[in-house]
Amino acid sequence: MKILVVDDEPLVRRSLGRALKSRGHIVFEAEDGLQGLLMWREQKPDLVFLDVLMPKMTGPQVLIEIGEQRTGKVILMSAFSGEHNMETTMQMGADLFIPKPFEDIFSIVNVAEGLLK
Amino acid sequence: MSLAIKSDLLRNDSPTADPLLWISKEPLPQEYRSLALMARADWAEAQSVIQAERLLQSGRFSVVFVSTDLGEDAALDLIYVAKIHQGFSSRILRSQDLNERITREGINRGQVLRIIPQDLDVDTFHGLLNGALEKHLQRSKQFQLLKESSQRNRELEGLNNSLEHIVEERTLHIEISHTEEAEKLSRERLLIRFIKELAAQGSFEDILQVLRKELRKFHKLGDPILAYSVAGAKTELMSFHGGQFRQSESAIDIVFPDKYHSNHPQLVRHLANHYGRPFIKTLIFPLELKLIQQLAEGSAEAILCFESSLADKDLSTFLEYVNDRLGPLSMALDRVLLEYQLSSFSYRWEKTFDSMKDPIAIVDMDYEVVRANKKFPEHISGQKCHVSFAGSKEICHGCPVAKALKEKTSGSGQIKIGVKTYQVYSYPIMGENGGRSTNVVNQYVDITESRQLYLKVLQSEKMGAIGKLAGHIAHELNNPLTGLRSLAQVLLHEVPKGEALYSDLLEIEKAAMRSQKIIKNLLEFSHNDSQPQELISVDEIVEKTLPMLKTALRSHRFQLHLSSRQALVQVEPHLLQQVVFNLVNNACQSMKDPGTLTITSAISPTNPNCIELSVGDTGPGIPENIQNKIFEAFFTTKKEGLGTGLGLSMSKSIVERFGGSIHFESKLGKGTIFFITLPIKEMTA
Repeated sequence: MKILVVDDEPLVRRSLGRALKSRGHIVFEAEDGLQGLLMWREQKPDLVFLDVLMPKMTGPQVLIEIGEQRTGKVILMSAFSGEHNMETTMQMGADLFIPKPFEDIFSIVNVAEGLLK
Repeated sequence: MSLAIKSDLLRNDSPTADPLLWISKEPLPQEYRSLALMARADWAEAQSVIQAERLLQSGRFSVVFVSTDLGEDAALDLIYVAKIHQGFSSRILRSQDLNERITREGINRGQVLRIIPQDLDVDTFHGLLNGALEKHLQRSKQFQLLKESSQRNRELEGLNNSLEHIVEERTLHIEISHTEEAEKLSRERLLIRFIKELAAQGSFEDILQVLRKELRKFHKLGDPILAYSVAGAKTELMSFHGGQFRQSESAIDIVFPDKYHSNHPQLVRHLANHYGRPFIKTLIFPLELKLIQQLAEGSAEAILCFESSLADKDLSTFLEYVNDRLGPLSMALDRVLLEYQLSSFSYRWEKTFDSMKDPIAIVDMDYEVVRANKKFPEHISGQKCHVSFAGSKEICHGCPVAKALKEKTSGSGQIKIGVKTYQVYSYPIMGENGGRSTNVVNQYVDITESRQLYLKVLQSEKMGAIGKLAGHIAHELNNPLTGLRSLAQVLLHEVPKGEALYSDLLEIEKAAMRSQKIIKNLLEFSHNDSQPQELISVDEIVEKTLPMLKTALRSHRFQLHLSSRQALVQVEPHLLQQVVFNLVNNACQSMKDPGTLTITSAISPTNPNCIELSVGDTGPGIPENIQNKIFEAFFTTKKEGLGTGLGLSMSKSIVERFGGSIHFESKLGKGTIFFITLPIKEMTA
C-alpha cells in the first residue's frame, strides 16, 4: 500500500516511515502541509498520516485544499489534544484521530493497517 | 367821693347807668317816675312776683323798691332775691303796717336800706331816692375800688411771683449744671465700666447679657437682638426669650442697613417672620466690624435691634446712651466674632480630619505623635507612632517618615501590620522660611483589600501564564519526544535483543517516556480550568508531583513512605498536586540548612475512613505568635516577591473542598509537620 506521512517533526516521519516500511508498505514523507498536498495529488496514497500544526499549511487546510482529488484514508495526529478530537476529525472528513505523544508506535501501525483492510 | 352826688344825684349830669326797679301791685306813681328821669335813670316795673324775680335775676338795678302789697312773705323773699342778685343795689321795702317781722327779716335777710310807708310824699321820696342812689354809688365805687386794689395786689403778687420764679430758675439752672456735671461724670464712669465689662466677655451671649443689664433702666425697651452675617453665610440672630439667650439662623438673608433707622419695615418684617411674633417699632443700629471684615474680605455685617415704645424724651436719652456704647460694643462683637471665626476654622479643620476614613497623624522627628485624628488608634501624648499604630517597638519596615524629613518632600511606603497592609504617605510640614521641618503629616491608607485583590489577580495571571507556557512547551516538546520514543521503539524491533545497542535504545525509549510523563503532569498541574474529579490514590498524586520538586529537594535528605496505594480519594488531581507541591516547597524553603524532608501516607491512626498524608521538615518551626495566622490569605513570612501568602490558604481551601482537613504540629528549632486528612472513597484490591 502507498502511505503518505505529513509531519514537520523529522523523528516522527522517520519512525513512522521505518515502522510502516518494515511491514512492507511504500512510504512517502512530506515535511510540511504544502509539500504534503502536492505529494498527495501526485502519489494518490491509500493512507495519509496528517499532522495538525505544521508550517505553510495546517493539516485541516490540506484536507480542504485536496477536496475532490483526495484519495485514501486519513489519520489526523495532534499533540495539542485540546483542540481536536475524534468528532472534529470526522467533521473534517478524516477517518481517525490519534493524539500525540504515542505510547507505542506499533499499535499505531496496527490501527492504520486495520483501516486499510 | 364826689360832692355833687351828695348834693343832688338826681340833678347831676353824671350818668347813673343802672335803672331803678319798682315792684308793686300798684303802678309806679307818675311823680316818682319823673324824679327818676331827672336822675337819668330808667324805671323798670314788675307787678307780679314771677316778673319781679325774672328781672332781679337778669337785670341790673341801682335801687329796688319792693312793696308788701304782693304779700308780706313774697315781698321779703323778693328783697332777699334782690340782695343775692343785686348786691350793690339799695333795697327799699314799702310796707303799710310796719310790724316787727317785716322789720327784722327785711333788715336781717334783705339788708334793706329803708322801710318806708307806701304813700310817701314826693319830697321825702326824692330825698330817699337820692340817698338810695348815693348808697348804691358808694357801694359800687367801693367795689370798684376794692376790685382795683385787689387787681393791683394781684399784679404785684404776679410780679413778685415772676421774680421769685426767676430766682428759682437761676438757682435751678445752677443746680442743673451741677448735676449735669455729676451726671456727665457718672455717665463717663458707667461707660468705662461698660467697656471694661465688655472686654471681659468672651461670647455673644455674655456681651448681650451685659448690654441687656445696662439697658434695664430703660423701661419700655425690648431686649437687644443682634444679627450678623459673615462672608455670605446665613444670617445669625441672637436674642433673649424669657430671659434665656437664643441663637438661630435666619432662613432668609437680611439686608443690613448701613445707618441708624428708627424704623425699617422690611427688617421688622424679617424679624417678625423669624420669631413668629409681631414686632413693634424697632430701632436698628448698624455695627461696624472692622477686624472680621478684613478677615472675611469685606463681607461682615451686624446690626443691633431694640423694640421700643420709648417716649420721645426717653428715646433721645436712649439714643445718646446707645451712641456712646455702639463703638465699644462693635469692637467687642468684632473680637468675639473673630475668635469664633478662628476657632470655627480650627474646629472645622479638626472635624475635616476626623471625618476622613484614613488614620492621619502629625508625627515629629522622634516618631512621637503630636496630634492625630479619630481614626488613628488611641494613644498617650508623646507616644511613638509605631507603638500606637503598629504596636511595635521598632520603626515599621517601609516607614517613609525619615526619608520625607530628610528630603523635605513627601514620600510614601508600605507597612505591614499583621494581615493589614498600609500605604503610608508622609508629608513634611514646612516652616515659614523653608527651614528644616521637624514634623510630618502621616496618612495611613489601608490597602490590604486592594493588595489582596492585586495579589489574587497576580496569582491567577501567573497561573494562567504558566498554564499557557506549559501548554506551549508541552506541544513543542511532545512532537520530538514522540518521534524520539517511536523511533527508539522501531529501532528496538530491528536490533536483536542482548546487543549493547538494544539496551541503549531501551534507555532512550524509557527516558523519552519519562519526559512525556513529566510534561503530562506539568500540563495537568498548571491547568487553570476546573477538571473532573477522579478516584485516585494520594500516593499516585505524590509521585506525579515529585518530579517537579526535584530542584527544591536537591539540597535536602528525602524520605518517602507511601503505603496507601489501595485507598482512593475523590479529588481534582491537579489541585491536590498543587497542595503537595506547596507543602513540600514550603518545607524545603523553611530549611535554610540542609535538612530532612519526610513524606508519609497512611490510613489515619485516628480515623480508619481517612487517609493521612504528612509532610515534615527539620526547619526552625513556626513561632507561636503567628501560628494562628499562617492559614490566613496573604500572610507570609517570606520576603516581598518570594511568596504571595496564598499557598497555605489555598491549600486549606482545596483540602476542605474535598471534605478533608489540614493542620500542623510545630516545635521551635525542631521542625514542622503538616497533616492532610482526606476521606477514603474506595479501596482497591
